[in-house]
Amino acid sequence: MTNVSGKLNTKYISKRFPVWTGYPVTLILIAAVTALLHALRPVFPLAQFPIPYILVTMLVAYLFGVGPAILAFLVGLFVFDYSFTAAVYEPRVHAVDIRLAGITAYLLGASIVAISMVLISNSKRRIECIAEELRRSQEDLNRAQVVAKIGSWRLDVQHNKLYWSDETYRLFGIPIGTPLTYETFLAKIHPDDREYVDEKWKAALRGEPYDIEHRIIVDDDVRWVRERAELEFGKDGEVKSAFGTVQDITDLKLAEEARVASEANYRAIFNAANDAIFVHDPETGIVLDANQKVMEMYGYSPEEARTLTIQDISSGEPPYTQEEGMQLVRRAMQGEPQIFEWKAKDKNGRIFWVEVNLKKAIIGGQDRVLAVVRDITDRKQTEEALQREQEHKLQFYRQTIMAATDGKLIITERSEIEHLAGTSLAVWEIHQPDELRVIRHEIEKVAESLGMAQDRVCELLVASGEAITNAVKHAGGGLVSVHKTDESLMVVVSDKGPGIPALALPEVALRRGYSTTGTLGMGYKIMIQLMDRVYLATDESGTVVGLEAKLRRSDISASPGMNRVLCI
Amino acid sequence: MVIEIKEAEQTIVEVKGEIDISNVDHLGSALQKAFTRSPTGFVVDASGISFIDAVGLRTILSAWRKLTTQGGVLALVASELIKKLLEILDATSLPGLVICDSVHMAIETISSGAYGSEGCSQD
Repeated sequence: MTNVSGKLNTKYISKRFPVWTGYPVTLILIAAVTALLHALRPVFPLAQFPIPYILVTMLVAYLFGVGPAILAFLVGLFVFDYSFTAAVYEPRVHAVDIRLAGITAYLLGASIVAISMVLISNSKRRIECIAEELRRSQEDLNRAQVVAKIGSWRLDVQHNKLYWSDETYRLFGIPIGTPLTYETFLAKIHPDDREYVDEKWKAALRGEPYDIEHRIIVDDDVRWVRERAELEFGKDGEVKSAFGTVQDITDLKLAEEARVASEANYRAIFNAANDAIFVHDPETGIVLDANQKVMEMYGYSPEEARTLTIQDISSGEPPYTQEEGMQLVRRAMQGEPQIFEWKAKDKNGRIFWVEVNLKKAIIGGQDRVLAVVRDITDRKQTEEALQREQEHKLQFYRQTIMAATDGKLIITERSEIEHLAGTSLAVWEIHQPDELRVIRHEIEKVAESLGMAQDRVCELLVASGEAITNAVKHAGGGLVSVHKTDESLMVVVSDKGPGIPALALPEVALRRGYSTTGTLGMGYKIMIQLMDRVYLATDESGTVVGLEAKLRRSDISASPGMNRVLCI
Repeated sequence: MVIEIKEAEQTIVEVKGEIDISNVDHLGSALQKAFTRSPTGFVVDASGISFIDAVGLRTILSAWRKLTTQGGVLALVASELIKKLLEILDATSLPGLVICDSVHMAIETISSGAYGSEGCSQD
């Protein structure tokens, strides 16, 4: 609009006539007028006045503007003066005065008329420019409305007219230009929303704000629109005018609905879980979200749980601390899921055992660490009770077994056997059954070098053979070593097999009478009978057997046998 | 270990050397062969065994078990070691198992049928 209020823009003239055409047309017009006047002069004396030239100047000023007007003025003056005034009055005495008066009249008349015509012409062009600008801005607005999917409307109460923008028509699926009433508008609204919109509009008429979202039906399709309106009220509260916008928000609504549905699904799953779930910030470990189960397990409502630190939900006694927790979080962030048992603390300070599964997750586009927490207090208690019971049983077995074997079979710990064994003289590894023979002979050499009597060497070899056979058979091999203390020789056989279950121990040690159920029992019977003492340490990580043969005075004094056949 | 099956008046399985899990299967199959030939009874000469363990003894006792279920008898010529081990295992007075000091006595015992709880017949 600014260029309309400024200087005249000549480009609009050129729409009708190019600017330069004004000059030849002016000359033609002056020539035509002059010819006409010459023709008329004999019969019409008034043709001597300059009025026709002034009229030409006027016309040119109106049609072409200032330049051609000046040309018309000057040429008109010259022709008028030369062909009429000068020619008519020159012979007379008083001709000079009359000529001067004629020229003056021409000048005055032509000037006033030309100036006023230029002014009129300018204002007319200015109005045209304004109208053009308005048309353009209307076009721009329409285009903007199409792009933004926003239509507008205006209610003119004074003239009782409702105007819709083209886009509003399009949004409502009504042909552009269709005459409108409030009822036309209501009819397009989704039946379920009609009453609501009607109520809101009536409320708006009473002065309440009008900003609503509702559905409309366009070609059997449901669309969502957002409507806003501003109403102007008169002194007595009557509506004078109203302006409103209609925005198509169908896509927005569908996306929002999908988001809400997915959020609701996520929440439902989150809260339905049997385990407590924390969402941790991977940098600080702070709890960002927690599910309903957290309330049950920790006593914190999901709202309270947010902002809790790892320290807040851990017992705090090493290693159940913030630092340790953060290390596990970092490891989980590196992509290795962490499953561990943790001593947790609830809101009231109660300490309880949980099993935690830490896993990296991306939630809402952010890196997070999910902690799925299960209360294992019951399991822990059961485990502890079982362990205690197991220990009691083992204790009972040990004592019973020791008593039943006259103190010869001692169930103990491997460290105890290592402690009792004394100085190590030799160690062999065994994997295959065919290595048994070699090791027997090696043990034989050591025992003989210590001066052990022949029959006792034989017994030691048979007992050792049983222990080593067990290691090969049940554990795929192991280590055999010979040790010596001041008073005894000890063969230790250790393996990494599954161990002898506690319940099998009585069978191994106590069974009387011959049984073919297993050589394990037979082997132990032989070891116990042949040795002075048998130490046994066994658990899931393996079995250690210590075979102790006391060195007797007779052993030491006996001379080593020469070329003996083993055990005979 | 050396195993020899002799066919004389009776079937005799002669075992010599050391027996452990590395070679006990040979003993098992030799005893099985002997059982097939003489299901009513045979002699196992174990006097030449210089080493034997629970696995070996169990193999011999398995042969005895098979024989006794068919009413047969096993005469075992045992070394001192074997005798001691059988004692430990409470296997000295099993019905149908006769423990003898010599092959000669063992053959006689089986042939005469004079065996029972009193064991191998004494000269």
